Amino acid sequence: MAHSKHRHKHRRHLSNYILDKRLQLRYVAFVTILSALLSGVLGYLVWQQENSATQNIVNTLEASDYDADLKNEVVAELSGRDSNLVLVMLGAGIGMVLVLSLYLIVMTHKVAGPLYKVSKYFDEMAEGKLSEVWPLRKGDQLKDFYDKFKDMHDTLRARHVEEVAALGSFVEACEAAGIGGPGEFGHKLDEVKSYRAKRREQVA
Amino acid sequence: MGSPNNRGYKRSWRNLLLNTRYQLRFTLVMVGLSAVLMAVLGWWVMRAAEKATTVAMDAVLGVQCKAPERPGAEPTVVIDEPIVDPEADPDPDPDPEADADPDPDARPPVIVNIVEEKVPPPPVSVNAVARYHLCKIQQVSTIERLYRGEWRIFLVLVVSGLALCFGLAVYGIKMTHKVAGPLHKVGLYFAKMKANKYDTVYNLRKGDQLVDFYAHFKEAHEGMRKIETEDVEMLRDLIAAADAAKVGDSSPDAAKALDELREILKTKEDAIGP
Repeated sequence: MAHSKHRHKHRRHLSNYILDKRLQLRYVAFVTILSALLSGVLGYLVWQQENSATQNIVNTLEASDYDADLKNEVVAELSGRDSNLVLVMLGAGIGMVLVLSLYLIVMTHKVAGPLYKVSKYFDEMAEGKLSEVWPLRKGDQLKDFYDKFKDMHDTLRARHVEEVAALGSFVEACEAAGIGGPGEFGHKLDEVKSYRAKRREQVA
Repeated sequence: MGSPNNRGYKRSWRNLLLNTRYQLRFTLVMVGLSAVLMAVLGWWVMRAAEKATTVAMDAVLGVQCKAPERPGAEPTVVIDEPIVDPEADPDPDPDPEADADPDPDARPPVIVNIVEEKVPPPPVSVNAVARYHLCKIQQVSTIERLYRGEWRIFLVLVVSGLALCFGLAVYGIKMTHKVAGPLHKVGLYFAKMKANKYDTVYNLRKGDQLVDFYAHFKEAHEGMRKIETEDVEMLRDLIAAADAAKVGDSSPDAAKALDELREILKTKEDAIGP
């Protein structure tokens, strides 16, 4: 590949999955609260039902003439089951939060990734630089937006390259005609040359 | 009304979907994922609830309500007072031969009046009846309560599942709109920059996301505008110096290149405006 030497091979790393904390964590916080609330309500209801069943069995046991040790053993077993249910429900809630949060982080990363990349190009543009824009990574979102940006950037870059070329043509034509030299215009041409060199560097 | 840098755009439900592909994809996948998770959780919850209900019902039905003991109304034999007929022949046997030697110890016949009648059983204890019915009522009400509990869990499950999906859909569209809005706005500026127009960049709407990103864009826009301004100044000076040095008269190539620079200058002046 002709560009392979220059092309930045960005890979997704766990460490840079949170590129835009405010944007990404806001989604995650919302879903976490919603899921926790939902799991909590459902968990409480199921626990209530289970507890009611346990209470009925305990009542029956107490009315019976079984051995006291056996009664205690059964009650302990039932209490353990109730506690297990709470733990399972807690696990289900945490699992739900984790799955949704992971999805949101991955999805928002796929949005934040292109935005981060475009922001880097914006920083260059702020300094007047118009370097070449590389395509997005596979799986990134906002392709349409990125295409618009690339189109605009490429147009600006081509325009600047043309302008640098036009300045170059003028300087070369003047030099070929022997115009310039030590006079005022010659000094101006020197200024233009350095300006052109700077601009050429900006679109390199 | 906004400040000069802040135009008063208002959100409208009609333009909530600015970037349909991104917004719908993000939201629908999230809603789908939540629906699947809720279905799995719901299945497990209903199974647990059903099991709990069954166990509780078995426990309730396993308790035998003690029925009040009510003795049956058996026929009772009552022997009335014996009636002795003093005129009756103690030996009614008509056998004359037997009468020849009457038994001195023979007793007079007794007529026994046997009356068979049903005697009402002894009254059942009211407390026992009440206890029995109370027990039955308690059993029925416990079973009903258990069923109600299971049904309530199912209802809460369905309602919360629907609420979760609906909430996430609305939230997803709204949140992605707050991202898509600034992107849409920046996209419009991209089109202007591509067409060589460097208009004033206005601020985002209140509540929009990507504030930092937009700040980067503003700086980029400003940077490009600054370059255009520098170009205009440089070209003006150069063209003025070239005209003063009568460069156009000295070389046709230089004259042609100078004309090209004049066109570029004009384009750039239009780009940055007055």
